[in-house]
Amino acid sequence: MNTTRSITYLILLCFAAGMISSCNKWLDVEPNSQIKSSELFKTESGFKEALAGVYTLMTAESLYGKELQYGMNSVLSHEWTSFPLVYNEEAEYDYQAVNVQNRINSVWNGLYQGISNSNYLLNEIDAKRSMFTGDNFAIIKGEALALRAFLHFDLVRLFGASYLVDMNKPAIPYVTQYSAKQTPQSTVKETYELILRDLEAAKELLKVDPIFTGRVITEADDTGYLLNRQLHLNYYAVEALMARLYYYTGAYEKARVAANAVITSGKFTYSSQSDLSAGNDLTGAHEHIFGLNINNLYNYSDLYLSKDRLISNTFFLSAAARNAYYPEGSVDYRYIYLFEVGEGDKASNYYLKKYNAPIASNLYYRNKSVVIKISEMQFIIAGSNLAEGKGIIEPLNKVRSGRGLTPLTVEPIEPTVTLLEEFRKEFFGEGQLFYQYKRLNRTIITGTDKNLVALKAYILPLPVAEYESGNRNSNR
Amino acid sequence: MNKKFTIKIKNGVLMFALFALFGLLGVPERLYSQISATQVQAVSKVIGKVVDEHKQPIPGVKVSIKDNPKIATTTNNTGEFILSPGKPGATLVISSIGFKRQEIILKSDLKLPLLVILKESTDELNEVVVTGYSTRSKESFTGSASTFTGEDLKRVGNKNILQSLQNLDPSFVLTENLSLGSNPNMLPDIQLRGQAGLDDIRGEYSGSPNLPLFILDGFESSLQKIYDLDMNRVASITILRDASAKAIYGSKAANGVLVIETLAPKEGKLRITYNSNFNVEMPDLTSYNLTNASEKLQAERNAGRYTSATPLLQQFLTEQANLIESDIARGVDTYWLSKPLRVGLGTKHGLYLEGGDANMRYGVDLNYNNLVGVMKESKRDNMGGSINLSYRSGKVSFRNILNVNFNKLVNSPYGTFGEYTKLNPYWAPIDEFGRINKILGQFQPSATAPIKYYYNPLYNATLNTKDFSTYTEVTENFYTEWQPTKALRITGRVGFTQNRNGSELFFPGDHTKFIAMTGDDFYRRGTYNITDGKSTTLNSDVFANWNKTWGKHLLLVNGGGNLGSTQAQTHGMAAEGFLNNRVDFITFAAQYAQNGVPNGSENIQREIGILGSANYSYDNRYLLDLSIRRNASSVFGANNRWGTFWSVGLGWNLHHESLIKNLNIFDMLKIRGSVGSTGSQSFNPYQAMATYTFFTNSTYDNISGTYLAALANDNLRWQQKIDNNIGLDINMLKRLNIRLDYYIANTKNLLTDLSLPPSTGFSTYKDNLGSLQNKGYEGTISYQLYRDAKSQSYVSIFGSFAHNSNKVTKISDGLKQLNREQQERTDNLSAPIIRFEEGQSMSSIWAVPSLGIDPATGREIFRAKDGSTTYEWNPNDQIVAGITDPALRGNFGVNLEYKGWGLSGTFRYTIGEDYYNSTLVSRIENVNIENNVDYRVFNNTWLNVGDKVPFKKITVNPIVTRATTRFIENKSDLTLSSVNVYYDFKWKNLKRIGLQNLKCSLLMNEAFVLSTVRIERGTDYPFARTFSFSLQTTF
Repeated sequence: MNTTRSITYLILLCFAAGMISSCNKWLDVEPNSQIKSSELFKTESGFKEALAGVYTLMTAESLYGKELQYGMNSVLSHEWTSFPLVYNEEAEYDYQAVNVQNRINSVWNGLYQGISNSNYLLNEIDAKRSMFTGDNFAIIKGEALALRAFLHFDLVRLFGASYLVDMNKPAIPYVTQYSAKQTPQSTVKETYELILRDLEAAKELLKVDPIFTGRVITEADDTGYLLNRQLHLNYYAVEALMARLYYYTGAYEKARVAANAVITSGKFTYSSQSDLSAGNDLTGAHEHIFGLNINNLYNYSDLYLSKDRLISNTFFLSAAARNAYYPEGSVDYRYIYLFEVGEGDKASNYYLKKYNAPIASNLYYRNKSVVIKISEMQFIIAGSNLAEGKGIIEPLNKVRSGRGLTPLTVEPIEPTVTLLEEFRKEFFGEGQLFYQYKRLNRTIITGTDKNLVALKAYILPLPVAEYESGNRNSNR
Repeated sequence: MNKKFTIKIKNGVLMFALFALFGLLGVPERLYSQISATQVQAVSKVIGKVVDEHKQPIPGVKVSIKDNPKIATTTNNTGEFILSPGKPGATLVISSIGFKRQEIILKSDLKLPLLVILKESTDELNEVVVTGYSTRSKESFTGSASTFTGEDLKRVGNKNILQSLQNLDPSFVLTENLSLGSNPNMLPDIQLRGQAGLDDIRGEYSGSPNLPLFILDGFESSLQKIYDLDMNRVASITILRDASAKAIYGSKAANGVLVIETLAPKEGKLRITYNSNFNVEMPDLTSYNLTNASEKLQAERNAGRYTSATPLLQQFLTEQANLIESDIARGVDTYWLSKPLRVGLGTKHGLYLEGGDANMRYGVDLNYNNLVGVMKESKRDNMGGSINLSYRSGKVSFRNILNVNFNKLVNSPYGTFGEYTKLNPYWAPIDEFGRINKILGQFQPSATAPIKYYYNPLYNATLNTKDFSTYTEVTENFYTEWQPTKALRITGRVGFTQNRNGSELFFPGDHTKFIAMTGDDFYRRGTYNITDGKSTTLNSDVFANWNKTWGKHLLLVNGGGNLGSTQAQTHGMAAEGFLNNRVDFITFAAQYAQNGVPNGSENIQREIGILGSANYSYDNRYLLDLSIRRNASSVFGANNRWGTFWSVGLGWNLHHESLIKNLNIFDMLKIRGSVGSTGSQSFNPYQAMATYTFFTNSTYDNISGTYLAALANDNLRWQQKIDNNIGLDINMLKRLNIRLDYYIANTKNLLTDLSLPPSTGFSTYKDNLGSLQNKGYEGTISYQLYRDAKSQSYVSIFGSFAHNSNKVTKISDGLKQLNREQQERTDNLSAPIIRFEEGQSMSSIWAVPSLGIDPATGREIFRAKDGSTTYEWNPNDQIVAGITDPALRGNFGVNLEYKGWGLSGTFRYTIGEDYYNSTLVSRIENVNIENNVDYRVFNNTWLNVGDKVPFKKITVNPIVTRATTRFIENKSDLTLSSVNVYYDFKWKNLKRIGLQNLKCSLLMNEAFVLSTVRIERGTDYPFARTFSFSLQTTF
């Protein structure tokens, strides 16, 4: 035992004990199993990881992995003729049922978790501006703002009244802070204004987005960070969200302008028949203005959309419904390539192959799920036209021709019905039809005799925990 | 102090007398040669002899130097001692239990050898209080503390320190664990003066929220280490209860502090002490009252298991019952309870070598403990050793303790005891050829239903299962002390502990738990889990003690600081697919566990503290204790790193007031009181920080994403406990000792979950919200009935009592959420639901008021909140139906010794505890009739209209009986916790056989339990009675 050293050590300790400031630093331990936020945000890659984290959160089964796509949302709009038993209460719009409440809670909690993570990143990023290389500061901040807007947008689409029906109803809190303090509830109108504000700020920042500037990105360029812009809320995704927002809020001229801006960019093209027939690109990766990279896309599809699973656990369409949805079936790519018939007692069941990740060797198509796609822009134009009493066939034909159908030649007698039918063909199993019904405040929809307006089915109730801890006003 | 002492130093006459005496007693020659008359003037050594008033030598008397208790020795069998005081002018302190203390100033003209005559006293007070930072005289201390010696611990048990302590101090309670019984591998749950924290229902604490702080030789220690510590190594253990005693430990002391000191080596020639124990553990199954084979079948019939309205099905069921009946007729009546059990035979050995001179002393300790449980093959093996060296040179002294411990614990391959209590007695464990049956029986409720098979857990024991864990711990403590002046002492300490542990759990594919895995999953049968871990702790502190006396004033001041850091890690993996029973190594796995990833955990904690304390006394009458500690820890929020803990204590030694002194009744009469704050912080080390966690199983666009783990609370702080304590210490007529304490402790800033609106992105948030109050009183009384120092005989009786009650004074809405979660739980419906309500005790039993069983229908009638009666059990009708804290608990017993023969018996009691008899619920009413049932199922269950019985109708598929007041009983227990009979050979001349002392004892632990409530004790691991024989000898 080296005693002199020990004594010296002790004296040093004694000295250290007096120096409170250095103590505080010593007390700031660095965990190994987790990473402290202050440590994470010391580097640019930390910001990239935090941003990727928000996208990853969105890929959960309870969010865009299933429920907000072919799961809960598509059951609410009665797209499926058959769905797992656990969705029976949704189909009846019994929002108090335990199963439904759990799903609603997960959606609410999950989307706000994403928002909170975006907020933390946004809190940190301005102070670290000088640390970023190239355009990454603007792009990452722009995406984080866009994510915050996007997530609130879907929250208000689910939990807020339709803007066109009652814009002054209390809706959701628009959260911009990472804190235990609760944010007051905004009305539908206020929420849309706040979303727009974030989208505008994001759009400004994303003007340096390579997808917009046309800058060529290679693997060698920042290890290809900006290579897959369609998997991020890119400049055009923000533009498309603005088109969607204007359309929802009745600003039809602005909606058309924004939608056209996305269309005319020419960056997003319809999937080719050969790709579809070869099973290469079933969700239409080239069409995605914004798609998510969902690692489990195939697993979820295999569990819930497969002909090999129990009838009581899967979503599918009856042969009759498939024929009714796609009356021009034999030439419609979507009818031909996106469905698969079951065997044995499932011989008249048609299973959606859209999310059955392509077998193609080209990694580009793997695990990509659609969130916003180019055809929605045509529908926004068509819907805006319809709202103003103008013709809808021109934009609809753009989509029809992309899907192997012949153009419509005369304006339909019931344009609203036609628009919804065309919409259902295009967005089948993507969870978007519910929002269309909601926007139009349809009382009766195909597939159920329930009166959705009378049941207040279009506004999901706030989770009980939010009501109780947040002391919220009713959103319904 | 009121000391009268007599020193007779008459040189020549004395020497003559001594020689004569030595001759009479047959003192060995070597002692003579050491006592050389020419050494009289040398101050380096003091030699002497201690005798009583009858001139009989007194062995085992402690002789030490005042102001430096480390220089100490004890007299041998002939009452002689040799001590090196180190410097001239020191004061020699001679003390022994049963005698008055003496002090002798070693003047240079003092003639040696000394003859010290000690006067008898009945004063049995523990004279000092060891706080870990200083050793204080008990008389001047204002805190509530109790000190026990290693001998005290051994007298009341030999299992472990904690078990013994429970038999000594009423405020120290090992909460009874009815499921884990006497499992040697289960660390106990401890409460000191009740619960200071909320029950850890959600697992948010890193340890038990009520665990006291253990200080072993000056350093914080783990419960496991104390549990495995060899009792023979313990010199003393001090329980610090109130603020005045424990506030110097600051943010960790809220649950009380246990200060344990191990034996320091004594100087002298090499002394070898050997301790040996032979233990017999016998299962105690008296609490079980299960049916035998024919009774069980009858119970099944009564429940309607073999009854059907359809003739065809009736026929089918009758055939099955007949098969069982024919087995019974054949003589099958298996007593399953004894199948996995045995009488455990364990041994324990300890060897201690010590010796050295005034400057350098050494102690080497080796111990082996083979703790054998009553479940077959379950055991805990502990092997350890330590080297204790101390060196003194002038004003500086050093001490070093190096301790190494190896531990291996093995759990029984027979599974849990609970499996056996369920098995039906009409099943045979082996077939006619003596082979173990894998399938015991079967039942088919109808011809089309699937057959249900029942498997034999004994079969699993024949396989190569593995369930063990090991640890190796190395502790290195270094102490240095510098005493520049008589009044000042500076101490520095560094302690380092490293613990490496591992565990393995293996079930081969043939294990009955995998029977349901068929088809594609068949190849996955068999699992293997391996974990390993390491934890490293480094603590150091430096402090100074200074004292000053002027006139009637005495001032002691302490000050110092400490630094500590702990780092721990575990990692593990799981594999599956072991179809061959002969392989038992993880590499034979077919694959890793399905979708499995490596698992692990890690934490780092650091802390800093500075402390100061002062003790002032005036004329030894008026006492004042002050202490303050500033403490910072990494587990707290960045804004609340530092906390201040303090205490103020006042005391009044009434026995020094002339009025009382003149009564000549009181040897001690002290009133003391204290108030102060301490903290507790045993929670998850990272919860105050904003941390990110990585997604491990998915990437996004080739980037591994990360997300916030929780909502950070930069203001998170320790739980703060304010203790108020008043106490009384009495010692009367040299025979009666009484200690009484009353306390009120308020815990504030209880760490609880605050529910958040999920729109914040998180559903909960850790905050310091709740508060609760503990109130209680406790006391110990001992009375010496008889004492005779000459024959070293005495008879004394003792008793103690304690009462503690708690009340939740404030809770957060997070706890309301917790109440709701508990309400919605669907497992273990037989037990009452834990619920916290403001104004109620945490120990409340919540149940719906019952009006008994309706004689007309056999259903239970409840009283609803509005006073109406109903058959429906509604959780909203629950009331506080009882409180599980006993009205009184404590110990009593007797200690006696006569000429080396000794007996001590200790009882432990609890009185007036409300108890929810879950045995009745789960074994009678909620019983699954496929399993064995309590015999009481016959007597008092409702069968026919008009039956006025306490239990409802038993059916095949019973409606679950939820918490009802019908099962709340008043429980009082009496446990004969230890009986110890011994003979100490000190009265024989052992020198002749080369021994210095020899003691043999027979000990019985937990001999019986009498209870007013009949419950099954030890449901997963039975309780055991322990008998042991032990031998202590020194040569």
